[in-house]
Amino acid sequence: MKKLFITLALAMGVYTAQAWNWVYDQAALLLAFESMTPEAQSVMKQYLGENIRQQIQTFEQARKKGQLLDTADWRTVTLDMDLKAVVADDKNAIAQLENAVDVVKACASKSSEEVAFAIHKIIELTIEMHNVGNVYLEEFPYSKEDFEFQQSMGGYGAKEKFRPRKWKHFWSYGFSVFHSSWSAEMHVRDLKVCHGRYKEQYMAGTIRDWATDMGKLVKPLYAWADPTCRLSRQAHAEEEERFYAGVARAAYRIAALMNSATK
Amino acid sequence: MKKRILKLALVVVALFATERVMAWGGFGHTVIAYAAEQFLTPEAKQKCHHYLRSTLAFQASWMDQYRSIEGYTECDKWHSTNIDANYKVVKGLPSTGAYHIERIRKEMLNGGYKTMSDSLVKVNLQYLIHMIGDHHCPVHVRWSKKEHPEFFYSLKKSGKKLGYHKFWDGSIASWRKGWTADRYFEEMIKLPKSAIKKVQKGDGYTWTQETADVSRKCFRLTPKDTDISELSREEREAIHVVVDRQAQRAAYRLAGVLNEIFKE
Repeated sequence: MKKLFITLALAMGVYTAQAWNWVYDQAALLLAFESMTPEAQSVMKQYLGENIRQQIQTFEQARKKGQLLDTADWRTVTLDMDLKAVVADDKNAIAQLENAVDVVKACASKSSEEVAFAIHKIIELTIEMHNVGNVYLEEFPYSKEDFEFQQSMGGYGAKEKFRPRKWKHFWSYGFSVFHSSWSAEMHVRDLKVCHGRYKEQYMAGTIRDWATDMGKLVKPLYAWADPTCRLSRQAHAEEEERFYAGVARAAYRIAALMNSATK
Repeated sequence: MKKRILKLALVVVALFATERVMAWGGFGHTVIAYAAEQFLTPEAKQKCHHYLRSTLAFQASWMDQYRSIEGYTECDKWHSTNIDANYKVVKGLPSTGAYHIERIRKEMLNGGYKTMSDSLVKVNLQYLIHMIGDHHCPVHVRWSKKEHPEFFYSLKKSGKKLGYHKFWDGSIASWRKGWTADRYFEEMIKLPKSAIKKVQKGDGYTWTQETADVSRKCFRLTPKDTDISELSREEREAIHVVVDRQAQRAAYRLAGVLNEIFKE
């Protein structure tokens, strides 16, 4: 019994610690790499090595070992009532990404470790700021806290059954159940079919504009999602589009940052 | 403490439950749709992407996700088709999938899809992608318990009861832990052109009839009380031969139907 408890606790621990299910992070990075200029691709390979697909969730892994704990604060973006980014300090994705781009731009005068760290920031924090669970809206104070809502587990009408689910966990792992046998490459194909035509639109603008864009994507959610909400199966299935839109945006924007930093 | 552990275990099981109740298993449907997409003509692929706004694989389990959602519950019956006392597929029954495969196919053929709204084309494609897959699954032909009581029994897994339907629904994925759909496709036997044409002949009813015949063979492969954890390598191989062939045929036929619909 004790063994079962430990196994379950470990499993739950792994799930609450990561950004998205790793396959989505990997897909975002592969699509990003595909969308980069040859210069940006070459810089990424020079500092991170040839095996690009493995360069995901490095901060997550470090935090699990008790290292780089500050990076936990770097994942989020906060938006004011007008959906403008709030950047009061450097404990957010925007400040850290702007800094990372500057480091890569000045790579000739930086150590390899500094540049590699900055590229990791570009990959990981761009992904993180496109995770719904990391976008905080001041208009909805509860968006900052994790909260439980009721998720449908099947049935319909009066017979629909609900179970409590953590909001942030849902936005990290709530959709992989639909595509559990997918490789990252399969997601890349799909992201291109779904979102390829928006590539230029996603890549345009600044990191702060992207935060506002995510705010617009997320805001309608909080109109119905609060600690009292019940998420039906239909809503769950429909929300996958919003989840995927975040992954696509992250992918193309990693490319945009790397392209601009290596121009 | 025991109660808490049990509760926690139930939550974990619930997290993964959605996947397990899907017909053919999510894996089976994904591999069929993924493989079918590789067999599409460039025109058909472009049209499918245009209407679906996604790959075929992305829509593979849509009918399973929506089967319990209000407004779609009628389609819950379309995942399988009745077989009569003489082992023949029942035709013309609106509560069966084969009927709707043929209905949709005929409505969309010869430019018919051009007279439909984009959303109707999309939902029709979602139905075809799923139903053609389902109608190649050996447990998606509906036997009557009254006429064929011999087909209603359970299997075992490590001594514990295992539903016959559940086992065969997930049989493509059985003993293939960690496989992704594109890996499966790489290993799928590809047919020469002449064989593809032969496989693609027929319609929803003839394909379902073929699946009914395969289904009878499956009952012989796993008779009552078979403990699937005790199957020999050869026995497991025999199961894979059957389901892999069915998945391969479903993929070629789905591609054939879509190529035909979107032929300019």
